Amino acid sequence: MADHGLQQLIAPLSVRRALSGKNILITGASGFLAKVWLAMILHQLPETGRIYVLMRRQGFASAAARLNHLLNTSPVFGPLHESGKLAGVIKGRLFAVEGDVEAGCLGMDPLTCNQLLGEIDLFIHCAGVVSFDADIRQALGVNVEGARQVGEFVRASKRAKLLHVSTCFVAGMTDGEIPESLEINQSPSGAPFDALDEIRHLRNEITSVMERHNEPWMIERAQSRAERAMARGAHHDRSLEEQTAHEQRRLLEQDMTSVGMTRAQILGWPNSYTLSKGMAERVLARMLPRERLLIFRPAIVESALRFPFPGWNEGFNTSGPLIWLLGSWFRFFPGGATVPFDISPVDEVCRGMGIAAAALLRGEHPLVAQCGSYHANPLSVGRTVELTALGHRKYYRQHGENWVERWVLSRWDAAGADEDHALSVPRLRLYSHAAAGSLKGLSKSGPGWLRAPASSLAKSLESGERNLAKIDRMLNLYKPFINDHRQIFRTDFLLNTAVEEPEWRFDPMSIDWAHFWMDVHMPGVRRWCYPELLGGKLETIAPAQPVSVREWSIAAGEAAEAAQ
Amino acid sequence: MSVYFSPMEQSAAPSLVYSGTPSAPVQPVRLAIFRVEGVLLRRGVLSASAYFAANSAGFRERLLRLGGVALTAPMAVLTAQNDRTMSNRAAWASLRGMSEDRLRVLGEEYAGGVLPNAVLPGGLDWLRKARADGFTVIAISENISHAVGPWLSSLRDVDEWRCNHLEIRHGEATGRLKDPVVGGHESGEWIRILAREKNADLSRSRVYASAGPDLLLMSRVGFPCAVNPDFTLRRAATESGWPIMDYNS
Repeated sequence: MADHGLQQLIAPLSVRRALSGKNILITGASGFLAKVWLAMILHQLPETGRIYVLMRRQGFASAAARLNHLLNTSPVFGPLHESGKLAGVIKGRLFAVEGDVEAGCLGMDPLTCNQLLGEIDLFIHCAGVVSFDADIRQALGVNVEGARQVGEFVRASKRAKLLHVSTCFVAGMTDGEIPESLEINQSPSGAPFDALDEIRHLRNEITSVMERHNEPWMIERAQSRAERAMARGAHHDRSLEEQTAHEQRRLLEQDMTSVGMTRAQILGWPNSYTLSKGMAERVLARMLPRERLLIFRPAIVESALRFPFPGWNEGFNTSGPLIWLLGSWFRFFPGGATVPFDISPVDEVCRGMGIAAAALLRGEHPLVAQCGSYHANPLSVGRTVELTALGHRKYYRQHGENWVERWVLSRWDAAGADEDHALSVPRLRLYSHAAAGSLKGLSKSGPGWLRAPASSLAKSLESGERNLAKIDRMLNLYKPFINDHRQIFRTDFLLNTAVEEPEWRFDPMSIDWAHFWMDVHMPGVRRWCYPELLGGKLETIAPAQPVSVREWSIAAGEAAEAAQ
Repeated sequence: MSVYFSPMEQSAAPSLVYSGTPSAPVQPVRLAIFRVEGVLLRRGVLSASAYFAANSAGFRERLLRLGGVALTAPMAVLTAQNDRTMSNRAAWASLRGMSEDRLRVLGEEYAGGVLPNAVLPGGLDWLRKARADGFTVIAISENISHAVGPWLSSLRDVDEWRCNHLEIRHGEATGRLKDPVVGGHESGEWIRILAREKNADLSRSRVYASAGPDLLLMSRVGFPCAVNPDFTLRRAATESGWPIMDYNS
């Protein structure tokens, strides 16, 4: 592996040349990041070799059907459809491969697996569970076992190199500058750590939790919860048995989440997501030689700045819920004003991935490449809260549905506050709980004329408290990233790598945060993420000429070769 | 402060700039300088600073800042006839700690929502006329760039504009105006430097102004014009025989 700093002085990196003719296998293509990367590669690098997209079958939908659905409905591919290029760039080049990252040989049929083992040059592993408080079985299965299976595939392959997409937040609950390095035998808390031992430990924990949940007292607990739910009139459509099974599943999930969160915090990670990602990095670093592995760590990935179009976003990722919350009557945001908020537009991250992939293919890569913006162009949580308040102000002044939104809510600026603030969420919950309790008392023993209104108000307050509890839970999940730790992720590799093609240059310095946040990201979140949160319908595209890809098979490969 | 030229340097400066062959003289330009407050717009500095203060981030902050602006009002009245540097500084001091992002957004709002209703159409007519007559049109304002910049940039007939600038540090206003502050007695020096930079003939230039502190500026040009003048300027204009225009009422 060459010294990449020295290499800079010799020649700038050409992403185009490095990826030219290379066969690529991608996982996680139904996710936000990988989908944009796929679209970018199709759009900007028609010289690459075949691109295989590994996808799971879902019910009756085969991998090819799922990929075709993505290509023909996701707005990411809209500009490619509009330019009329998509059919041309995918013909004989893009293939769906049915599989499952958690299974041996990635769940592919043996023939396909054998052929791909000899054919793949670059493996982009993006698949992962990104929920902060995922059930540990899922996090361990997809993020750790999935990475291990990917590592096995790469190790067994003829020449494949792996770009493993992780996260900067594997740094855990630490402060200060986070270098682009990996302590394989240490957890963020500084304790000795062995990823394989940890897998065994977690599996044991999972087994013991499963056993506990099969004990009679746990079943009784689920039953009594089900009876209470039925008595409240919830879930009319379920029988008691169905409701009991539902409660059992919920209790089990809660415990599994708690196992992951507790274990993560003991080891110095804030949640099960970062724990599992940290474990995956260590597993891969042990399995693969350095020349075949690059761990790519993006920080927080947000809306696109330019590609596929400004504001493109999907799902409800990190800042979405916070933006929504600050656009409501909620005012005091528990974020440290000077805490770094390291976000990057998704297209900037994809360019970083392109550079990292090219360096990996040329053997000029480090083991870890971080991709963020704060190192070069700082943005703090405090400024983000201010920009969000101003963005909402602009929106409500122009598009407010009534005078309250236009005149009051537009001026209802959010502000940073600590947990002890008189109007912080925990305090509001407390007030709400106390008031509901008093009103309940009044509804039972107060004067007759007061009982009905008191009871109704108590119910409203209880419902409000439930909503506040949800917000509190959400904020607690985000707190490590927006309040508790002051982390600056160094991005030396990407910043110092000179790139020949302007469209592939990594340039976080050029981002004007005010413009990005208020004019690109917030409108993007409103358009593409709010519907998911508020139960609306997500926009899709309906191209005049839908495209179709085939599932990979030897025959399909031969036909593609013949066509070329 | 800007670099001023000494009288000796001034006298040494050529009155004509030669380009190409030495025998091809370039005609000096004629300037038409418009004071924004009172000539192009009805609203002044206090209106803008009050708008910014009233739209601060929090309710407590709004009250405090508005209080600060209110305290500067008497000072503005007292110094209106003379040097306004002090009152301008005081008016904007209340914005100390306001984020640059907020200044930018509020400035856009102020320029797009408040200023269009405060335009003096007569002023814009004179602006157009000056441009049509071949003058280089320059607007000067005591307001900060965030408040009037977007509006002035949208005026097609203005070639250049000059205004006050809030000092920004670490993304927040310090509450101080950058030197030199527009609205004081430095305007006489400023126009001399401007004339030199632009190769302008001040004897054939015009100034349209509305307040006493502009007297020095007006006295430098061949064609000063008092527009909606205050007491001091009206008296000086009358005594000097300068034209007076009233289109405020």
